Amino acid sequence: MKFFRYSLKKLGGSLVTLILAASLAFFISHLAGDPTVQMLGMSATPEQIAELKAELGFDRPLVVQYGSFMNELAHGDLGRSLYAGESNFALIQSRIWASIQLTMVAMVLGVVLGIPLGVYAAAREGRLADRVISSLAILGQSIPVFWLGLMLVLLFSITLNWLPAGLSGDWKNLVLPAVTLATIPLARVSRLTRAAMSNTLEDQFITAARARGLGNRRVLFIHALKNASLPVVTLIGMQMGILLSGAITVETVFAWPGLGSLATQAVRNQDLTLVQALVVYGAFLFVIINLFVELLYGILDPRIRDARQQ
Amino acid sequence: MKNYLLALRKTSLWNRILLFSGFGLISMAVFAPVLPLADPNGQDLESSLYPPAFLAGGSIKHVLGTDLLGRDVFSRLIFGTRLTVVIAVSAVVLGAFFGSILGVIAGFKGGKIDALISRITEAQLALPFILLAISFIVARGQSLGTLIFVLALVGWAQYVRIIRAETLAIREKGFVLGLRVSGCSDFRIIFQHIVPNIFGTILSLATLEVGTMILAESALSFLGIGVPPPGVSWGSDLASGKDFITMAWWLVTFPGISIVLTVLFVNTAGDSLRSHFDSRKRIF
Amino acid sequence: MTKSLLSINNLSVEARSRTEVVQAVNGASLEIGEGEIVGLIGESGSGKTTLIRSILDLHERNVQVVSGSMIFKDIECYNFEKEVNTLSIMRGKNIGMVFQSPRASLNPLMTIGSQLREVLKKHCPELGREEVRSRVIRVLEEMGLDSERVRRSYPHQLSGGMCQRASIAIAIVIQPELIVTDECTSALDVTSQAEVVNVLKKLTILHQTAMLFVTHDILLASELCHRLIVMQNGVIVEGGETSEVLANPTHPYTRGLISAVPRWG
Repeated sequence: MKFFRYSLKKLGGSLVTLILAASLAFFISHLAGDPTVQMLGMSATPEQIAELKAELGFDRPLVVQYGSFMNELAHGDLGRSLYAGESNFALIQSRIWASIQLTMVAMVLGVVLGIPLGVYAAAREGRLADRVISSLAILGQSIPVFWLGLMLVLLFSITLNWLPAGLSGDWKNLVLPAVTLATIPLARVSRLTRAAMSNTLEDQFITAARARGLGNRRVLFIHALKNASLPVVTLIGMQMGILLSGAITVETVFAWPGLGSLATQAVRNQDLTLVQALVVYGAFLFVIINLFVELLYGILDPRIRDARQQ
Repeated sequence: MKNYLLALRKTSLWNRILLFSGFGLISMAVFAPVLPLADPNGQDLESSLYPPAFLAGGSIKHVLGTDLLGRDVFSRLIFGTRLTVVIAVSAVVLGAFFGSILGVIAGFKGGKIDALISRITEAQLALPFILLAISFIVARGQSLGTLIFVLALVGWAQYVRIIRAETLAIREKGFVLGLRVSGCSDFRIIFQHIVPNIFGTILSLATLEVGTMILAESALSFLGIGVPPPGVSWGSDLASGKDFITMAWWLVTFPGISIVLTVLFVNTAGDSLRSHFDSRKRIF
Repeated sequence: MTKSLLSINNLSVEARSRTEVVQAVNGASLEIGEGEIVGLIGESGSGKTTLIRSILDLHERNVQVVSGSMIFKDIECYNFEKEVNTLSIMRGKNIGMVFQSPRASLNPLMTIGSQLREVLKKHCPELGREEVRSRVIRVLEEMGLDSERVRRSYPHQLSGGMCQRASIAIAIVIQPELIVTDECTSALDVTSQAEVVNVLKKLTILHQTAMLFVTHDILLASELCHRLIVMQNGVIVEGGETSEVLANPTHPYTRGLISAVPRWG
């Protein structure tokens, strides 16, 4: 029952966040100025601008535009692409699977490799293994992910000719882009796991567990890791937003037919409504995943369920 | 002068290296126009796609090769530091300023204002950064000012949460309650007592953010919506170089290495700065 | 004279930091008999925590034993010179430990019941599920706790005193011969303190468990202990029957401790 109430609270919060995020997206792109001037170019006459404005509904007062935007959103309508005229939602749906594939594989790779690396580094704190892993993680966070992709293409596709450089096809095409994208969560997860494990191992209940004669492996994995994984779970939720952003550049490098290339297309075509739709959709994905993570956290940590809102 | 030299001798070797590198970086950025370098935007279609000097076909005149339009790669690397530094630092200062103000207000006032600010911050953090940047720049058009503004927009939310927490902690301290009871105005409390204490945290966060901004700017330039030409940016060089990756590997390798080295430097220097500040006593 | 359970001889322990080496314990020797309650008294920094951690071989990385030996139940379990160290085998099984902070020594993500079961499964693997369950209930009842409620609770749902009693329960459920308690009442309010002391007294009577009761509070120790040992700056300065030490303290430090206690009437 307590968990049910906790879930409801989190669900409500997510809804509010989503509405606010969509509104923010709207205001940010509309207060930046209207794009009709951009679209028609410098040589456009005032009449042409006015005509386009009316056609697209940009001449209405901002509040009215906002109202219709939110109304359409409530009905699941993300508007129409300025360039292609198609429903934005349909456009996004056609590309989303490829992006989900890429992002999921990258996230899984990053977590599955990152957590053991972090645990190992914490267990060998201060020694060579720890220093190497930590340095690599810091390096990983300093490299632009799209450049890493380019370098990997240079090495594995062009020089060694082992793997294809992009486009989709069978699993071989997924390897390079996924590995490239995976460095983002891998670096963060391993660093955070190491720090969290290191902190947890200093807690007194670990010493107490040892004092009770429990074996080293049990203490490390059952007691320490379970406690240390809590902040890591939160991180994974937050990573999705960053991963989405990273995926856009990676998809560009590898010509991966996902949302990222849709976004670059939209940029090239000055397709404001499509970009806005992408932002809202991205926020939606982020909020859903975050909600899931918060619920998971509530299952893992009994203290959260009992905490009262201050 | 003697004092500075003495202080320099006391710092560790590592810190000295960092200091020297930082100095070198800033000098490169500041003095680039007067150094004996080729014009970074000087096109020379005769010398298109030259490889670096140490490979066959290269020439000493272009140490690291040229791009499609014959522009010197090395010169573009050096000139690239200028905008990189300016953009990143401006974005950080702007973002830190607004983010911290909002954080202090949220933490100090509490109640409805705090709830409002926190909710908006959460919503902002839910928006994927690149998409947000894209939507703003597409609507407004590409320009340097727009770029800095967008980067600051993306960054401010990070400060709000942490500064808010710090402000809350200080507000609960005994002496602040005492000041409020004795009728000290909110303004004075904030400026005289809270700000000096959170300044260290703001600085720590800001140093972390500079690296992120550099990476973000290069990503945006890579996508074609970052630094407008004729500005020299490593990110846009990567974008134009990517089409020639099979025949001119140097066009994508060197600008990328520049980005990595700069970000690494900023992060390590930031780490040093941070640990220096942590060990300092806080002023009240 | 009761039969000797634990005998520590000439133990010295060093703590190393990057700048200096500190002698945390210097040539300490003590004896605990079967079923005896011995109080170890000293301020923070006296070395008492380091000493008892040596008994369980629970030191941090920068702390090392440099000399001495220990005999438990007539078996030499530790000898620095001869490089003998079987202390970790006895941890939890023959020697139990209770720490100062009640919640900090319990895993916040596990119920009390599961932490009890875990210890039983480790040291008494031959017990069946029913046996384990009944032992858990019995030991919690012995501590004066509502077994049905407590074994399903998480540490944050219980009060400080209850957590401490739960920790004691975990320490004694496998019936060790010796229990070491490190300032286990210092973090509690007066009522909880009294509850815990009562529980400890009952324990030693019921199960003949020996106890090394470590504290800074000489008055509290005198309520509970048969013998008192006083420690200062890593050295044991006084030892003897409780009544003797209180009545005729020989060392000035002991005298200081006794006179510092406020007396009524």
